[in-house]
Amino acid sequence: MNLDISDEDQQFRLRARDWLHANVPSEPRPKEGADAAAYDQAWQRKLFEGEFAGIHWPKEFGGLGLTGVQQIIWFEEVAKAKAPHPGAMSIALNHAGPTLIVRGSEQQKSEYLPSILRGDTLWCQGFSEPEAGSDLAALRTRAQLDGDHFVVNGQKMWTSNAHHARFQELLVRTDPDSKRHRGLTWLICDMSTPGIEIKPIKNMMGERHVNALFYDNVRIPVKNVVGEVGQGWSVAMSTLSFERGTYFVPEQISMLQKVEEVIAMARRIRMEDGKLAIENDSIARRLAQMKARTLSLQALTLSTVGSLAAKAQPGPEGSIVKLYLTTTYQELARLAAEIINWNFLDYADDRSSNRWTYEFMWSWVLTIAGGTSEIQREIIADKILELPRAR
Amino acid sequence: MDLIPNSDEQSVIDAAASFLSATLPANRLHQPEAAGLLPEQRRAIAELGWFGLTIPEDQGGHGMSVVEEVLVMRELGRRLGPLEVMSQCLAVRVAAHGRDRAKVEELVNGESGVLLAPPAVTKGPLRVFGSANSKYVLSFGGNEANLGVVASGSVTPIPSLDKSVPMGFLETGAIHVIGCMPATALVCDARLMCAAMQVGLAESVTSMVVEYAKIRETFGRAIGSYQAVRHPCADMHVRAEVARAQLFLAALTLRDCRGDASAQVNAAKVLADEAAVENSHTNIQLHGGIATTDEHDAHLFMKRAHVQRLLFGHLNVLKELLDQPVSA
Repeated sequence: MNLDISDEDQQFRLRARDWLHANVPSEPRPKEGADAAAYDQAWQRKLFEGEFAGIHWPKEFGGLGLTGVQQIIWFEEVAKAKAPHPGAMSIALNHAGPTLIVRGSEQQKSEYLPSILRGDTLWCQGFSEPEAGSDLAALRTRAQLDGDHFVVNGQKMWTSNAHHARFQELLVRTDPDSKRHRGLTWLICDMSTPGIEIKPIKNMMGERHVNALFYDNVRIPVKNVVGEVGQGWSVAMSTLSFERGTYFVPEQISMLQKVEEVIAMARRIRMEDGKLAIENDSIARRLAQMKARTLSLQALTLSTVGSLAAKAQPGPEGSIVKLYLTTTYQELARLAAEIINWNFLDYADDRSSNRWTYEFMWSWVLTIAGGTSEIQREIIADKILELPRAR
Repeated sequence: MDLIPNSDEQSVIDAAASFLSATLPANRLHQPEAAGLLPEQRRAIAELGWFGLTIPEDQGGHGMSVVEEVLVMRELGRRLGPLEVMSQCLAVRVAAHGRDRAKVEELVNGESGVLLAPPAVTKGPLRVFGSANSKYVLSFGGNEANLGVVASGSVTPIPSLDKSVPMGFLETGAIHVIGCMPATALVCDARLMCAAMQVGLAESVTSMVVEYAKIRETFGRAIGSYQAVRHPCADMHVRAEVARAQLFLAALTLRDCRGDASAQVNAAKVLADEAAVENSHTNIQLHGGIATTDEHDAHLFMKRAHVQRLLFGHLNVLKELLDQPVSA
């Protein structure tokens, strides 16, 4: 084992660093909404022009095909340069695009992939439903064949950027008699198709980032099926083969900065007893523990990247990272909330009114979305520990 | 850049595991006479080269690094191996620092044993760990680590929660110091070794309860099929994995003399202690009643986890870590 970087990887780091410093936008990202989506697309266009688009897409599809270690280097340089992250382009880059690469027809690949890399098209996701969150296979949105179109009726939940997306990856049940994983189909849904109603959902932080989508006889051409009819579940799972263990590297890096900010805050803020928060033994102890945990995120990522590279097969190791990172984040946010004391209550339905109160509430998005902590524990119990199942 | 043992490192692990499973398995500790490190065991371990692993070859050691040492200590911890092994490795370092070739050889060859008097704030006699008739003692004072000769018969044995770790009190006046070195570097090495033992312990109890959960049945099915058992097991695995990854990273940064090595080692100690303590506790809880008995192995691991938590650490480590800069 070693912490050495190859000469090639070091060259890549320097090239990335130079380009990022020269190209990072000077304006900050606008608040979530149409302007933020446009900002993300413009950044993607810049990455494309600088030949840094699609860091984990295979080269033959226009990407960089970076190894896990190279992706870590990329994210480190992005953090140093304070460069933007994919944001609204992340579904297209990390999910829809890779799915098409693995399971799309040649025609679909040439029609959809280049415009993703250029930042021209934004995608959203239509997977979860009110009755199908953790248990996605229980989804009910129906698609009935009518000539050369599927007619879609149903509802999807938690869709970010539905208003700004050109296309949606839509998972539907095409076989009405099927149960669970069988009889599902992955469709490319053009968001301008008549019959789609988008209802914003206000979250507890006062924002409207995600939406409920209602489908009323939405007609989608059969040529928009990715893979085969009835193979939707396996198509949806195909992005796993892209997994290099680096999905949470940006968060891992930003947490190191965050924990230092919380420590700095504890050195400034006085508690009810008049003493600085850092002088409170219990708070100081928890801060140090958080620092230890945050440092270990890097080690865990290195460990995961290495073992995925060695196995060349997607594994359940990602569940450990997701569970650990998000619970660590939540504990840090909780600690920050306690340190700021009464100020925790000074919140005006807007992130900018109180960053730490916002992050405290945001922590549940992390421990719930993308596979809840409970599901991650089930995956670890099943696939790593091989404990027996109840069902 | 990875944390995967290469083939040489794996050989070190396998050799340590093989030796320890045969001669020092954890369940030996149900016999009171198996406590501590017996002279013949100490000589057998000396033959494996463990006491001088990191000492340069031209000074009588094996010229390996803290990475190999950590891999050995982890296997030791997995089987509740004698703490005295760590004490001996630390004492060798003090002798080597003073270029005391004769002492280095004596200790590397396992001819004599070492008591450990870990840094502690309390005044009065020192709390010592190891055999009461050890020739040497490693103690700490001011910013120095001292290797001293123990005046014969001056250790007062005291009962120990963890019977596998003999404890006693030793008056500082009964120590004749023969060598010293700055404490900071030695304490850093000690924390890394302790962390390694804790990681092995944490992994060991995780395996223990997972295997049990597969076969023990209640209400008509294996206890491992209930989420109330599955989820704590998953948490145990995560703690152990995180602690292991951080242990390896810390060892590498120390070996490579990176500027953040001290912080990484401190983080490794914190997380390893947490993994060992919490996992050994959950191991007891999920086993149920039998794990509260003397006959079962579970309490042996819990008790040792607490000994190793207290050594070289806890609150001081946290205080240091809080102030240490880490690059983002």
